[in-house]
Amino acid sequence: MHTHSPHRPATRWRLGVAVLAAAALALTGCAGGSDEDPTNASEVELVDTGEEIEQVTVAFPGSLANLYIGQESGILNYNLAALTQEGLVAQDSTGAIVPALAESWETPDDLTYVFTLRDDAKFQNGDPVTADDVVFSLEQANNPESSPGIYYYLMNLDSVEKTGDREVTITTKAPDATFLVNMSAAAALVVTQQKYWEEHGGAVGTSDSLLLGTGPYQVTEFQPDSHVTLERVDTWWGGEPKAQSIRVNFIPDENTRLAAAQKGDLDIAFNVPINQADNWGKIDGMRVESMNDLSYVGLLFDQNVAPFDDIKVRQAIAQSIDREAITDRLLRGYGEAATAIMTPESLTAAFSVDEAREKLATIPQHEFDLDAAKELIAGTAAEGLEIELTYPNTGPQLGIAAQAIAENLGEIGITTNVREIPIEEWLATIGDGEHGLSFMWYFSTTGDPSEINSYLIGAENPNGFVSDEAVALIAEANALADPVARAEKLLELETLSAEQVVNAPLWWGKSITAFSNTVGLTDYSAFSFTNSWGAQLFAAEAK
Amino acid sequence: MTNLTQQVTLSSRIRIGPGKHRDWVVRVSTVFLAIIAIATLIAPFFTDLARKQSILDSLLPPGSPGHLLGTDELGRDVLLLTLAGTGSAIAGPVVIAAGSMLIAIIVGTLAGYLRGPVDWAVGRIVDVLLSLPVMLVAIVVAGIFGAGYWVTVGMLVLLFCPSDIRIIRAGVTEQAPRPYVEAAQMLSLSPARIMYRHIVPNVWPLILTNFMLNLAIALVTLSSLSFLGIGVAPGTPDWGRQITDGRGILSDNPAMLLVPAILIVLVAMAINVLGDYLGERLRERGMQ
Amino acid sequence: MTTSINARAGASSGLRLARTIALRVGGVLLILLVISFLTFTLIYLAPGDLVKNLLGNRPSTPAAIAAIEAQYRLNDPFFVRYVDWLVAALQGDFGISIRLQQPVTTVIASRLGVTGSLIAFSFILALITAVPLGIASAAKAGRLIDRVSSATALFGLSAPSFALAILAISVFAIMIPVFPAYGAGQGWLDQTWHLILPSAVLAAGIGAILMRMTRAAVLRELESDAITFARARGIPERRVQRIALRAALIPIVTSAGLILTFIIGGTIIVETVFALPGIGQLLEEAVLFKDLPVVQAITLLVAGSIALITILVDLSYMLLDPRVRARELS
Repeated sequence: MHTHSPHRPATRWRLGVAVLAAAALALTGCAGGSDEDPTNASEVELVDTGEEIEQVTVAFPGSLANLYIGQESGILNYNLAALTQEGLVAQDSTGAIVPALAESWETPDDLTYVFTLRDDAKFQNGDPVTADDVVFSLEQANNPESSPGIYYYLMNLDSVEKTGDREVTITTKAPDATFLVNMSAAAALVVTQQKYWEEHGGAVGTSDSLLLGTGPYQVTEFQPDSHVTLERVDTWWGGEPKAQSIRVNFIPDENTRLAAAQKGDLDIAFNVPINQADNWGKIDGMRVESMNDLSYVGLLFDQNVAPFDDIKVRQAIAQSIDREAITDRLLRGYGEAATAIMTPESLTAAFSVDEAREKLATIPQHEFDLDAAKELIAGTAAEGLEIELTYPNTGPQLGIAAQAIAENLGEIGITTNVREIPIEEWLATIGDGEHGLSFMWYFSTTGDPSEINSYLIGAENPNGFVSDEAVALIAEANALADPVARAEKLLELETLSAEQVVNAPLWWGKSITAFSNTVGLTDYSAFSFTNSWGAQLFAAEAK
Repeated sequence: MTNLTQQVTLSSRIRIGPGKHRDWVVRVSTVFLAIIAIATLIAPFFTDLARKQSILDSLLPPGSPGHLLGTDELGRDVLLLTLAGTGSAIAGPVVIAAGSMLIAIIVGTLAGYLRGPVDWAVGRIVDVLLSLPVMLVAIVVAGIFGAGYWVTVGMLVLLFCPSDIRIIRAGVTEQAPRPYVEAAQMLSLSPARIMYRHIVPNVWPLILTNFMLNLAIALVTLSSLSFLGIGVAPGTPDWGRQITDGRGILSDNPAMLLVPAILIVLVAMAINVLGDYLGERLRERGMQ
Repeated sequence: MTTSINARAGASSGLRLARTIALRVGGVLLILLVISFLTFTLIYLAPGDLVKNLLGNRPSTPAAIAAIEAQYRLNDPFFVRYVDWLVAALQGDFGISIRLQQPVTTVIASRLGVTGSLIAFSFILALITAVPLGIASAAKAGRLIDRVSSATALFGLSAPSFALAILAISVFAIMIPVFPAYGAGQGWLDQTWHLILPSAVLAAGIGAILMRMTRAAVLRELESDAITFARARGIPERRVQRIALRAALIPIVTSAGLILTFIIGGTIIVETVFALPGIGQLLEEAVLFKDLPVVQAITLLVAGSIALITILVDLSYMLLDPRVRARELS
């Protein structure tokens, strides 16, 4: 029942309806569920009625403990914070960086960013946003004690200072193409007021202190394990949104959530479980939409644990996995067989999604071949090996895949005991030096192509893979401003990982979201729910 | 929940009143439990067969050719899973009820017969165990020793025994001043002999009815823990696991959830019926 | 009852009563101390890593890990941490929840209402259905009402509460949409309305037990020598039944008390299925997160309540049964 957790990757399952990420990304717009999956025939054409909505009721599959993403940084925390807080920049529906609290910025050199703040930016209490508030918010985000969940994004931050009434200058330690996106609410910066923070002694985001931000909605009530209510404000620079209030209910039990929807209690439900997608789709007046959600699932080999230091063993395991069968049969198409760690969608700055998919397919693949795997494993220390494969309780689809993988590993002589453990316990097993084989499950909120692979291949990765070449490749890639050149470098990095069998990619996830036909979301994309999605809600009518 | 057993046990000692209707229920329950017992014995031979995956045949509905109750997400046959799962569904509760009763007989008799410091110490330990939240213990134990089936069973033995100890202790205290005990003491029989050869047989009805009740409660508790994610490893044939996994595929194959759920309720009911009946018969015999 | 005791005896037995109570309360405090240490140890040994829970699944620097460890004093020796906690707790300071970043007392206070109401409702519901049914069944043993209610109780006893909860939602929230499917509701009336279904589910299991116990207790009294004697003396059946009922009250009260302690520990599943923000869910999340201050406080609260109820039940025993009173106070 722990569908939420404070950790971004595995907070919950966010898989989505089959195929066509490209179509999904290329904008479904108001049309809503125009997905091409036949099992998901909720072809609904929506019309914007232009009317106001009194309340939008949203169901989250797990509770939040704290609303401040620095304190608890699960994907659902980001989804909620996106309604009420903003960074200097934001992302549009293609993932491109657009102005938010900063109306513009300049980069006089590779290391310096000069942001000019909007002059109409106000906090929800009516106070104007000052450069001091921005500096303060960033300093708090960079402090592991007050923001353990996000400080890591700012490892490259060198200095931040106010250089004018409406100007903030930020410098980085090294050139970094990914740095700008970190200044968004999808990564590390949610601007709050220094006065407000200090009034609450830094304990913001609780049910007593709530949150103060600059976004279109203000949190008015928060009860962990129950709900959050938000009211729209007239202080947002982007205007007044259509929905007067948003109520987010935390409903951990999936059958109860379905029951609530069947009763007509819900307008939007996040993270519909794969095996319930059909049931949700059948609810009268609701539609189910799926979206590639920038998440990655793969296997992790801890090279500090014998015999996983042997590349033959790693390769044999990689070749024992039938990715197609897993995505087609077990995930029912709500996932795409992964040919690399970075998702095709993360490369949209450089290529079209289809091009990206082709490029990623050129990376060496370890195709499913049990005979080859048996040959590889013969004579290694892995013969007759017995291992444990754990998966987090919030990812039932990982459990199903784990059982299928265990069956195949049994064929090549590795006895695999599958075990389900609480998400918190699972986190502690990653790179603990005991589990040679484990799952990696990561949600990228920013959609940056290097976010996941630099974690899994770069310095201090949980695989125990030590490679100066990899570290150098990441540094080189991130110093490149040209998206295509950068993508090529990252492809080299992925190739290195594949050749060394550092990771065994399994699938890129999809999230399924259920919507009532009375609401629509403009420009719905994989980036919607980590940006001001509340302002994109509209009252709809099914045609 | 375990401290309730004491009271329920007392209640089961009360005669419910004879009647054709009841005899019929008892007979059906006995036959049903006998079938379940046979299934338990043959279950291990079906485990490998039940675990066999066949992804291409996944999620067949009940009534599919070759799969009477359909298949699950990995194409495993639900009928075979249920049959193979009888083993762990029944073996666990039996071990829990028997294990907790065994501990209770040893410790409870000691406390009730010897009294004094032993009694006091046992009483306090029981108090502590009874006030620990089951969930906390379950999660921690699962974490330290791994969330295995037998670990859970062992933990439940420990959580069930405090109330059993109380019951046995009360029964023994009641027996201790009786003439036959005094007679044995005058013969200078060893305390151990007096306790376990003479007193324990006299609290036997108490033990048996309580055993039956624990059996039913353990069956239900194991499935509830499975609901909370504590229990057998995924892929192992087990009723509790089937219910957990079956919730997600309720619309594809309702049999995955419904069959083991109904079986759990029926088995628990049958055990309770039989327990009531046995308790009553023993009591009648005791009165004669 | 007091009329039979003269003033002097009353005073001295009052003293003895006070002493008995003081001893029991002292015992409870000792148990709480042991439990607090046990819980502390268990959480300490439990798998998982608080730092990783805070940092999430991503790389981190040793300096940051050290800073967080220092912040929550995770590197202090085991006993130092326990004693620190104990000293603070004895002064009424239960610390701050690491997960929720709020004082533990605030957190628990915000959950107590829901769980308290849930327990109270289900207890009352079980009481007002099970006790009359149990009495009626005993009075008409073997007849239709007895058979029906005994069978129902048998089912209630044998059905896992999560199954009942799912069944209840499907039937009473979807098929017959009378009750809300989830949540705690807002405002007094709405809250009560929301709690009816979960309370009923919780009441089913305990009601079944209570019904069986009541029936057994009344039946036992009706079969007792005293009642046979009363009947033989020609006392009217109605009065006979009233006498039997009074005598049966003691075991009924005992079982009711036991049942109350049972529900206190048993709300987790119902809270999860019905999405109620109660103590059970809070405890489960805190255990998994290794949020020690919250786990400690809830464990003590639960254990303390159970112990308190046990004492009250024992005291009521004394109040209701002259024989026990004589034994305990002499």
